[in-house]
Amino acid sequence: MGILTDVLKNMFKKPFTIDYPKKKSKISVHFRGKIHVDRKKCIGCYLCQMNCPTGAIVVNKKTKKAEVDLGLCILCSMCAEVCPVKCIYFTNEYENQVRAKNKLKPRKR
Amino acid sequence: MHKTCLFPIGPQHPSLKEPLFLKLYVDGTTVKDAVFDLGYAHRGVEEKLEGKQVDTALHAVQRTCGICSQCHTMAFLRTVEGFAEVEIPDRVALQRVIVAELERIHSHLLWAGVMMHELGLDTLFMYFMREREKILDVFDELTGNRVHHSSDLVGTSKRTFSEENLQFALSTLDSIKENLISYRKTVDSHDVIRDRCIGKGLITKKDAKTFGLVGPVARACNINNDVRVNSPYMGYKMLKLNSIMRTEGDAHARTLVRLDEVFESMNLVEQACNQIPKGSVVPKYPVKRIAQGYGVGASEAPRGENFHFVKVVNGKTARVKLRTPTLANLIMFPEAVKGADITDVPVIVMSLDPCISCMERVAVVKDGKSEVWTSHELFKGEKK
Amino acid sequence: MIEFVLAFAFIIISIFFAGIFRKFIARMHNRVGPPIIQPFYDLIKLFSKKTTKYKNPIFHAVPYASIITSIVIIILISSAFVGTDSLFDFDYNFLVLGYLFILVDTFYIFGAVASRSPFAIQSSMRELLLMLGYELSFMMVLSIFFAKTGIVSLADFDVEFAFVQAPVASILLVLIGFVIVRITPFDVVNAETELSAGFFAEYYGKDLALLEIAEFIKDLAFGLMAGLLLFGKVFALPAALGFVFFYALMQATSPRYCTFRTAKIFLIIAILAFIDLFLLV
Repeated sequence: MGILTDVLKNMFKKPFTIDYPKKKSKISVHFRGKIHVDRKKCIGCYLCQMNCPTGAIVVNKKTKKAEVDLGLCILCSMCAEVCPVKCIYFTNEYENQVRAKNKLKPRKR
Repeated sequence: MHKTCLFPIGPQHPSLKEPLFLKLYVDGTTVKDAVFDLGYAHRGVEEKLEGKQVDTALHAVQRTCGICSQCHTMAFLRTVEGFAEVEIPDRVALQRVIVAELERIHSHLLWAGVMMHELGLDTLFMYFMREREKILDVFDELTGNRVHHSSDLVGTSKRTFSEENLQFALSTLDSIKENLISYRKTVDSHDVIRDRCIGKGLITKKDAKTFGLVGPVARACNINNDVRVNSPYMGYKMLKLNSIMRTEGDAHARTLVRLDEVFESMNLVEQACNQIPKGSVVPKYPVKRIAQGYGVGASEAPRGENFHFVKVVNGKTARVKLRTPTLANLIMFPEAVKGADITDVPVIVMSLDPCISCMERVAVVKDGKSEVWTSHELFKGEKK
Repeated sequence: MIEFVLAFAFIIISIFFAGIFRKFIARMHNRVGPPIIQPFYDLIKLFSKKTTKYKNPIFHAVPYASIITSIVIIILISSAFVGTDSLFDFDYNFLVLGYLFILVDTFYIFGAVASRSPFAIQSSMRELLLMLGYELSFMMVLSIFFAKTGIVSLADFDVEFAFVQAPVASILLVLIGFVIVRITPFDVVNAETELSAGFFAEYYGKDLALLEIAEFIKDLAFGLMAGLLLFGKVFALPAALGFVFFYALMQATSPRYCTFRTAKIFLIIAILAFIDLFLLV
């Protein structure tokens, strides 16, 4: 009865799960959670737009700056890889849910 | 001939994790006939992959499967790097293998958990998921994403794994190994599990060869079709591995083959971590621009052989054909459940490990000329 | 009158017991688990839903019938704690109790067949198959306890630690509990993975809430009855809590047997109960 001893052992262990909204889980610094574009550095070279698999990142024609639609972005970091000035970076925020779909779209400027 | 009645498993059913409609014609509780109906998760993957740059298509092709994304990367890169003759350094080759093997572990643990849930043993489901969560944390640390890793590019990788990263991976594997040995013992020796699995969903070696089954399903019938062994690619050339095989060919054998493969994969990760040349770094990104060519390549996904055909014209993909392992195994579904009791159907279906949405393709042939339908057109029911 | 108050208290306790069961299971799974009052939240949510589609008079009558039957069960059980002046204290009322337990399941079968869901019908087929085994043996086991002690009504049952006198019957009673409380390895009737929710596949909203309360009450009633018979009146409620732990442990450590294996095992149980009763006579 291997399973019985496993169960009894686990009963008195600290739970592996956490009480989520109250406690947050630890996340690696390398985790690609949310994409950001440094608007000061961006030169509007269209490389990211050409390399995006889903068409999430688009260079705004007026401002000549890259803008990301978070609803389409698949966080593959291809844009960050090809960017010549390295203005695209990821942070490890993982709570990126929103209540309305249009909040994922880039802000109008 | 008795009258049969329809017992629907799917498209929405607790024992299926993805939409597949298995129509069982039952007489009492015995399945007399089975027909499956597909098309609930068609996404038009191949159509989406056309007309993209090679590196871009690489990131899109990973999204084919939520569990074996690295294996799609491996097959695609094997194809592309093969016909474009891109040499990859040892470090990159081994890094890819580490991610792929960790992925095999997490896929098999997920599968084992779901299998235990089908048998009614939710405890082991939770325990397997707990161990899998630790593997996902390793992915987090190594590649930056928990499921879709996106860690590779043509001829190179995105990150150089540091010594600490590799140590973290090895220590995590050490910490879960002991637990997994205990769970495997339970699966092997528990009376009720043996009663439910042994002799259920039996596939003979001859059937497996005739239908061309792949992966652990075929290996449980004593057919060695492991791509890693038969035609080693990338880092597997440098590593020693045994393919796990059993002779019984039933649900229990398939369970044990998968659980044993977890230990074999752990062994491979250990070997790969030790063999990575110290101090080396991955090459800088644009190794080679691929303009023309076509080729085929295969990789061993957790579910079996994963086959890709890629054709590149003027730097853009003109055609990508994917054959995922479930497509090869799906033919066996109705055969395996015929004659079984309804109680055993979820166990048998799960033991074949379906991955439906990776597999769904549509090719409509009209007047000898083939057409490809997109998901939108399918949804509308007519071609534009 | 006092037994009604006691029964009402038991109904509230039964919902707590469902929460405690889930908490036990969660701790065995190494999870934090839901709070103990989670079943209340679930029931409030279910009661707030609208019933839109009218199916069949039997289908909609079954939840009320089953909850009334379970309330009668719990009143009968509480009369045992009140004493001999209770309205529900009559000779051989333990046999009525046994029949009422079976009656609840029979109502479920009516509802399942009326719903015309293939899952529910499969589930009722299995229940009928198992009933052959456990219904008879349940009645026989109850009779063994009362025959051994020579008592004829629940309220008079003042023997403590009766399981020493009837060890075989005690073990059989606990085994029969697996089917009544629906615990693996014998919960084939509402096997989640192949039959969705078994009997309750087509129920939703208020109807489902009533059925769930009926299940909770029935589970607690079985625990109290087994506690009363095995350990005596004083220890009935702690014993019921002990049964919750025991059944949670079994649920956590065992997968589900297939239907025919379960039916065979219950046939053997019926034969054993019969032999035990026969030896007594």
